[in-house]
Amino acid sequence: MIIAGIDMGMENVKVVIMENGQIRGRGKNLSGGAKRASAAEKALEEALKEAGMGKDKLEKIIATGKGKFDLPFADRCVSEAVTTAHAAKLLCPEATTAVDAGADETVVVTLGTNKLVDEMAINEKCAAGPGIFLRTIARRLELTMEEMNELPPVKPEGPRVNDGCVVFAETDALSLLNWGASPKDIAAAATDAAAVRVCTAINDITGTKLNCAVLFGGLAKNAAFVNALQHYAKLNFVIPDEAEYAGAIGAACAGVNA
Amino acid sequence: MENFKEMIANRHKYAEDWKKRTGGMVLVYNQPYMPEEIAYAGGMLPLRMLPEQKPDVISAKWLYGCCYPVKNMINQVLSGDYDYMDVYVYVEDCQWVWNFHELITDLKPGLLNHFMFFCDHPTAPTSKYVMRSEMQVFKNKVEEWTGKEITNEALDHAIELYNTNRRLLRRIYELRKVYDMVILGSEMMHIMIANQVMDKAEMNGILEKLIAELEEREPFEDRIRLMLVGSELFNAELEEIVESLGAHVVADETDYGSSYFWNDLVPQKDRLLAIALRYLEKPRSAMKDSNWRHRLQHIFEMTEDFMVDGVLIGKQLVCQPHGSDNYAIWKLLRERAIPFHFFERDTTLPIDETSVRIEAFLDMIRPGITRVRGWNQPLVI
Amino acid sequence: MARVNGQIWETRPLEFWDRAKELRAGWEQSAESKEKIVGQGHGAWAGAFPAITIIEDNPRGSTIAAKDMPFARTARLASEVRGWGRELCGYHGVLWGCQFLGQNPDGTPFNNRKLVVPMPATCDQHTKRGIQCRDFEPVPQWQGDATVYVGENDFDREVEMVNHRVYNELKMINDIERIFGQKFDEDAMREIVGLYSKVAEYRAEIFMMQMNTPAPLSAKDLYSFYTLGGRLTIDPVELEKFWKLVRDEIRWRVDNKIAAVGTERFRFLEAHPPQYSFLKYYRYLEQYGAVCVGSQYTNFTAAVYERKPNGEVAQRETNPPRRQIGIEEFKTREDLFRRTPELNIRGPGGFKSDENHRPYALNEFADMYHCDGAFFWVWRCGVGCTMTRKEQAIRLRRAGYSVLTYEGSAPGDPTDLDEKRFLEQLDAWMETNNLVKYEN
Repeated sequence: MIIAGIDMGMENVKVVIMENGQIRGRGKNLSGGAKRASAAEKALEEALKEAGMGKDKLEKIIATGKGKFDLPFADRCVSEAVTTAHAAKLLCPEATTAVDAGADETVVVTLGTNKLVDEMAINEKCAAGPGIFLRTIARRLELTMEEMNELPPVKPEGPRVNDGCVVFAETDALSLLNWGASPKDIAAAATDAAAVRVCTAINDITGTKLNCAVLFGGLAKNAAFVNALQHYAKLNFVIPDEAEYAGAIGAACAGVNA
Repeated sequence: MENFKEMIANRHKYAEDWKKRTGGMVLVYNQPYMPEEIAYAGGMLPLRMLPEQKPDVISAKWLYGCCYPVKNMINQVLSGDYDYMDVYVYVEDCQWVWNFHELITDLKPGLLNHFMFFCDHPTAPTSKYVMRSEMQVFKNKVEEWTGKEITNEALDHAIELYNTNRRLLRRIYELRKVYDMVILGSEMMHIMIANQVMDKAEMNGILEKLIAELEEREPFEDRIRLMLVGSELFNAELEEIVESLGAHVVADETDYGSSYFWNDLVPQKDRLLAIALRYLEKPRSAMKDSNWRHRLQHIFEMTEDFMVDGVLIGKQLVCQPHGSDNYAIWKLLRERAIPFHFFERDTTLPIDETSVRIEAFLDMIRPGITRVRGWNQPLVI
Repeated sequence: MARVNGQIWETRPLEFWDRAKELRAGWEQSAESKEKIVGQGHGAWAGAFPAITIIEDNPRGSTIAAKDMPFARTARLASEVRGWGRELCGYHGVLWGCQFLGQNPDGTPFNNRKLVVPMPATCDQHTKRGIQCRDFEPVPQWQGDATVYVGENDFDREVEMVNHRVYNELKMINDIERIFGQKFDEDAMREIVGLYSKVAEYRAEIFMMQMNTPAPLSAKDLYSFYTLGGRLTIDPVELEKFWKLVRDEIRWRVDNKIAAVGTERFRFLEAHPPQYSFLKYYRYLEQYGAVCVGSQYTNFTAAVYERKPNGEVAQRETNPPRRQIGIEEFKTREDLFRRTPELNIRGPGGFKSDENHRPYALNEFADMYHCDGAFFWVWRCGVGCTMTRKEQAIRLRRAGYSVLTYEGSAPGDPTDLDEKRFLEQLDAWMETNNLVKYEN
C-alpha cells in the first residue's frame, strides 16, 4: 500500500511517501501560514519526485500536525499523539516512550503493549511554542540557527531567563541584552528554559516507561537543546535520522489500517 | 553593619548547624499567622520558608495555575533544599500554600506536619476562643513531637524574646519615619528577611549591635519616599531598583516585611489566649481582611506616619487574595490623592521592565514634591 | 425514534426539562426584583425573610458570560480597570463589572446589592466574595468561617468553632432584622429545613442511580438544572416537587435502561465546572461514544459516597447524619443555627473541605461510577477549582484511568478558550483510547 503522510507543522510541512512500511520519498517546505495547503502540495510534489511516482499512485493521504484540518486533499486526519506513537514503533522498535518537541507543541506518549498508547501528555499553554521561541530569540540576538545548535551549556553563575513562561523569558532576555550580557549566554539561558518547559511535559508521565525514549521533532536537531533536555529529564534520547519527519511517517503508518 | 544578605544566602547551612549544635527540631512554615512562640517554647527553631526561583522541572507535574512562590517552594522542597526540615506547619491562609502543604505531606510521608485553622472572621467575640483552642491543639502537637512538656516559664521566655525582637525591629524600621534617614529600604528588607530565618536569641544581639552602629551613621540624601504594598516579597530586588533610580523605599505593608513584627504580644495569665490575640490583631493579610477592611486603615496610617510620596503595589501573578483587594486599595489611595503604581510580578523581576515602570512613576510624581532638594532638576544617579 | 450511528442504548428526552427551564428563568428574574431587597450571597434561611432575596454571583456571572459574550468581556474589563485581578474568578469579574457599569446586558439598570451575606468556604475566592459590593458602596456585610480541620478531631476545638459559627449566623440574622426592619419567620425556616432535607434525599438517590450503565443523565444535562435549590435559591415547595419529579423519572429510566447518550461506550468523570459557554464539547465527545457521568461538583454536592468495607457503595456518614435531623428539634432560632454548623464541621462537602479526603475522592468516584477516564479542566482563575487537580490526575493515571487536562482561565470566562486546540486535544484523547468518531 502506498500512503502519503503529511505533517502540517507550524514552521515546516513535512511529507513522506511510504510503501509497505518503507520510506520511498520525502519532501519539506516552509509552512506558508495562510497558504499552508499550497505549501503542502509543493512538499508532496517533492516527495513524489524522490519516490519516482505520480500522485495517482497514492492510495491514501493522511494528515497530522497543527494544520491538519487545513489540508483539503487529505483522506483522514490523525492526532499527533497517535502519529508519534506509530513513528516510534517503526523507527525505534525498542522505544518505550516517544517525545515530539516541535515548533509549537510537545507531545509525549508511552507505548502500550496491548494498545498503541498507554499514557499521553501534552505541554501546558505556557510551554507552547518552544521551537518558535528559540527561533525568535535567535532573531533578536542575531544568531543563526547553526550557532544556536552549538551553544555551550548554561553557566551556573551566568544569566538565566524565566522558565515558566516564554513571554516572561523573552522579556528577561531583552532585559539582559540591554544590561550588557553576551548574546550567546542569553541564548544558552533561553535554550535551557525551553528545555525546562519541554521537560515538564515529560514529567507528566506517571508510568515507569522512560527507560528507552526516542526524541522527534524539529528541536531534536538542536544539540544544545537536546543536551539541556537530557540533563533535566535525566534521559539519553535515541534520535533517529528521520526525527524531523516522524510526524509524517507516523501519519502514513496510521493510514495502513484506517 | 552585619551582612544580612549572607545570612539569608546561608540560611540552610545555619539551620543544619543549629540542629547539630542543639539537637533540636527545625519547624518550617510559610504563612504569616504562625504562632512561633509556642514552637520556640518547645525547643524548636521556627524558620520561614523563602521561595527562590531556580530551574524547575518539578512543580508543573504537581501543581497547575498557582503562584510562582508556591511553585518555587515545592521545587525547593522536592529537590532537597529543605531536607533538614523536621516539621512543616501550615496556618490556614492562602489556598495555594494549603495545596503546597497537602502536597508535601503526601509526597514526603515521613515529614511531621500540622494544619492550623485560622479565622477568616478575626474580630468576632468568639474568634479568640476558637484560636485559643487552636493554640492548645498546636501546643499539644509540639509536646508530642518533642516529647517534652511546654511550661509556662518556657512560654513566658519565648514571648519576651519575640516581643524584644519586635521592638528592636520596630526601632530600626522607624528610623525611616524621618526625612534624614540612616538606613535604606533594601537594607531594612534584608534585615527583616534574615530575622525570619534565624534564632531570635541570636538575632536580638545582632539587632542591638546594629542599632548602636546606626546611631553613628550619616543620614542618606533626602529623596522621593515610596511605600510597598502587595503580595509577598522575599528579597530586596525591588528596593534596590528603586534606590538605583534615586528614590527611597521607606515603608511596606507586606507579610514578609513590617507585618511580621508590627504588633506586640500583650502578656496575660492565659498565655495561649494572649498568643491567639496577638495573631488575631496583627496587620491583616489580604486573605483575612474581608468585612471590616483593616488593611486599608493600616495602609493609610503608614502612608501618613512615614510621609510617603507614592505607593508601589506589586502583586504576585495568580495571587487571588491580593487581586480581590486591589479595588479597595486603589479606591482608598485615589480618594486620598496618594499616587500609586500597580504592577504584576512573579518571584523574579525583569529588571529593565520594572525599572522603566518605576522611573516613569517617579517622573510622574516628582513635580508634586517640592520638599526634596533639586526636585525640579533632572534626576542624576 | 431514529437511531444514530453507533447507537447501543435507547435514549429519550428528559420529561422534566421544561419544568427545570421554567424554574431557572424564575430565579433569574428574582435577581432583578424591585419588590424585594436583593442581597449577595447564599443562604437557605433567606426564605424566612419574606422581603429579602439572596442571589449568588456565580450562576449570575456564568449565565451572562454564556449568553452575551461581548458584554461579558466589557464587564470583565470594567472590573479589571478598577483593580479586580485578571486571574480572579470570571463569574465575579462579569457580575461586578455589571455593577461598575451600572447595567445588565439588556441595558436595564443593574440592581445594586443591598447586603452581603458571607459564603464561608475553603476557596479563597468564596471567602472574599461580595466584598466588591461592600467596597463599591457602604452596604452591610458580615463574615463567617468555614471549618477546615484536617487531621484528628479535637472535641474542645470543635465546640468553640460551633459557638463561633452560631454567633456569626445569629448576629447576621439579628442585624438584618434591625437594619432592614424585617422579621425572621422561624416557622417558615422550620418548613424550609424540612423541605431541603427531602430534596437532599432525592438528590442523593439520583446521583446513586447515575452509577448505572447506561447513565440515565449526562453532565451536560446536569449542568442545566443541578443547581436548582443549591446555588439557585427558589421556592422550597416548588423545589421539593421538582426534585421528586426528577427522582421518579430517573428511576424509570434506570429500570428501562434508557440512556442519556445512546452511543455510551466510554464513561468519564470531571471534577470542577466546565467552560459554561462551550458545553457543546460534551456533544462532540458523544460522537466517540464518550459520556460524562458527572463530577464532584455535581454528584457529590448531595452526599459523598464511599465504598464500605463490605464492598457496598453508600453515603459517607456526616456528623451527625443529615437524615437524623428532625425539624421538631428546632425550638428556638439558636437551636436551628446550632445544628446547622454542626452539620458542616465534617459534612457532606468533604470532597472540598476535607483535604485528607479530597485528593483521593476522585479515585473512589471513578471506581463507583465505572469510569474509563477523566477529563479535568484546570483553571488559572479561582484556586478552589484547581487546587489538587494535578495530583488527582496523577492518582487516576496510576490507577489505569486515561486522563486529559485542559487549561482555561475560568468557567465563566471564555477569553482564552482556544476551541480548535481544545477539540484537537479531545480527538487525541479519544484516539489514544482506540475510539474512532462515529460518522453522523
